[in-house]
Amino acid sequence: MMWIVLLVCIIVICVLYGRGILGILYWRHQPEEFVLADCLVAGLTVVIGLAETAHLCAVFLKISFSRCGILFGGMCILLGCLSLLVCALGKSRSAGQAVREGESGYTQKKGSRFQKNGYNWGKAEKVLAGLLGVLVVSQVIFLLAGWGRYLQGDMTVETVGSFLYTDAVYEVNPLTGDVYQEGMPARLKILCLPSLYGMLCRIFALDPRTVVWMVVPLVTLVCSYGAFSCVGRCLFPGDGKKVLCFLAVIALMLWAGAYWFGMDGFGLLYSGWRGVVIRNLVLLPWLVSLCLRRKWRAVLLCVAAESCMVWTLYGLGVCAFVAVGLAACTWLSGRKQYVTHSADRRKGR
Amino acid sequence: MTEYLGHAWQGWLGYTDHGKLAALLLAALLFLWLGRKSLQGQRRELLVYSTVMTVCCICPVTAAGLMLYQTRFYDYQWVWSLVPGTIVIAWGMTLFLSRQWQEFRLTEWKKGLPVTCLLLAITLLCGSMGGEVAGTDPEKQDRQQAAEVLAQVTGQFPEGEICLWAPRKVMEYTRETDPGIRLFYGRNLWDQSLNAYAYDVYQKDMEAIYVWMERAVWGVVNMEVTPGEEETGKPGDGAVTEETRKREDGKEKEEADQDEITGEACVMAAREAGVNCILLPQAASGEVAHRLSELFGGSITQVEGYYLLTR
Repeated sequence: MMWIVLLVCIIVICVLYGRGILGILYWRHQPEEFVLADCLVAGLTVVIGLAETAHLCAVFLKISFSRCGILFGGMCILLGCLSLLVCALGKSRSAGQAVREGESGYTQKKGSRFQKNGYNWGKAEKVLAGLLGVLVVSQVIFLLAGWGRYLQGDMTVETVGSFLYTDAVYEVNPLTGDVYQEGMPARLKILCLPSLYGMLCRIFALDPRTVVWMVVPLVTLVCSYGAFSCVGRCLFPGDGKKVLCFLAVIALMLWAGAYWFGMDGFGLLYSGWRGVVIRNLVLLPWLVSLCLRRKWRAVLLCVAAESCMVWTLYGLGVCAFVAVGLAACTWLSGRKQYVTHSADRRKGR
Repeated sequence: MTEYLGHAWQGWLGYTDHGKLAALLLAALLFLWLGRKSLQGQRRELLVYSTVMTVCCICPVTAAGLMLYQTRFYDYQWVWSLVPGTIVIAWGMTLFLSRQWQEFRLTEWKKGLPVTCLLLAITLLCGSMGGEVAGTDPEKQDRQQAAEVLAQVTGQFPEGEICLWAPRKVMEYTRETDPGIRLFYGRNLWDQSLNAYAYDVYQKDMEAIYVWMERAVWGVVNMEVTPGEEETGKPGDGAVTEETRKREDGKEKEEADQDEITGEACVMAAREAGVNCILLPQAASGEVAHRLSELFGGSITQVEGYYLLTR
């Protein structure tokens, strides 16, 4: 049952770090509309960043994998303390602001920097939530049962196992156990996911297969629904029924799309531990929601996280492309509105 | 560039052959464009972006450009990562359903329910309908059997290091089961996509050695090449029965003729590579096993379905 402890720990840690990092990034702003799901995904990017730091230390400073794990653990504890501090300061700041606004006659809405869900649950919401719940639970059961895994072109478990066995990073070829003759591409060598999984195995004394094939896909599932819920809130602000329907349709699409390698549903259900899947199902939906909300600073977290876990050649990945594309559309639509507005003014409308 | 264009076109055909979610995406985009006046500014940006990127992914010229951007490491299907397809389909469907249900009023079920069922059926038809998914790994039994055999092998080497040569159905699961066991060759010999993870390449005859062992699973073993044997495909020691010969198809014979290698040569190559443990399928017969064991210079024991040759 240790894997359940790991799952809960990852989610709690992600939320904590997410609150911390978003609090820092948007410190000077007015109370923002960041919900728990935002914190979860932002926290995941932070965990990936910490793992990358430890991994790079192991690769370039040639420190052992055990020390790499200790470094990762130490950084996690430090960042946890920092995040708690930021949360406490943010709360006192919000409270102070509420008092000031109260004195100046403004009414403060319930909630702090991180708003709470305030939906009224009617019959329709209950039906939609039930539908969503059934679909999500069926996906969880599918992952737990291990009814299907796509292992072609994937050697994550072997890599994690070789890290743990040799107590070093990429000292041996994970597929044979022999020392590399010609080496491996540097851009692949710096990707941190195998190290992250290996460190989790070491800290929680779990088998690599349990972590990689069971715990990580579940984390991806939870985070992806968090990210999609952020998109839903942007597309249907303040409309709980539509957000729930949107998520239910997403869940259905993931089932329906589980037919071919490269589809979102396939990735989630058959290979949720791969970097490309985490990018497509967690980072990209969250990035879309951030772009729609014009939270450009947090977009950088997604771009950085992608370059830490997915082969992107020179660091230009899908996240950067999508962010630039959406930013260009925003700019163009802004110009169009400006031109229309100016023309209307000239015509004296 | 011509190669990329070819890949892009073939990729699109493959993308639409396996399932029809791309059609659903196009339908959702059309629906959203028809109702674009009701969309707010930010959402129009998403619609414009998704439409442009969908067109770019379908058109072979732009798709080839996107494939260049994402590098050769990824196949065509990954350019679709640039399109938030799942989001757009769900967005379109949600708006459509909310209209049919009059903002999700349950009293409107007479109109809403049939439309919802129809949409559900269309979605499922666009997917695989729960059919078998190519390339996934349902072989739990194989993994379990391999683990049992490997446990017996490691039992023979309580302290020493193991370097193993065995059939694919054992080698496939060895490194994930026990990272302490070294292998004569890895999974990348039959899963070419794994070769992208290292610059190391195998010697030319390694594939022939692999084929020899896989043929041994069917009892088709070639111990030494004798005149005329290459034409008939008969092994020199006569260990193969008529029945087992029938099992192999013509394609396998052709491959074998091209990459003919003898059992002796395989064992010597394995010895040179430091292999100290060979799992020979029992279908290869005891005579062959003993002969190989002599060459290998060690002892022979039997484990579940295999002769275990150690030294």
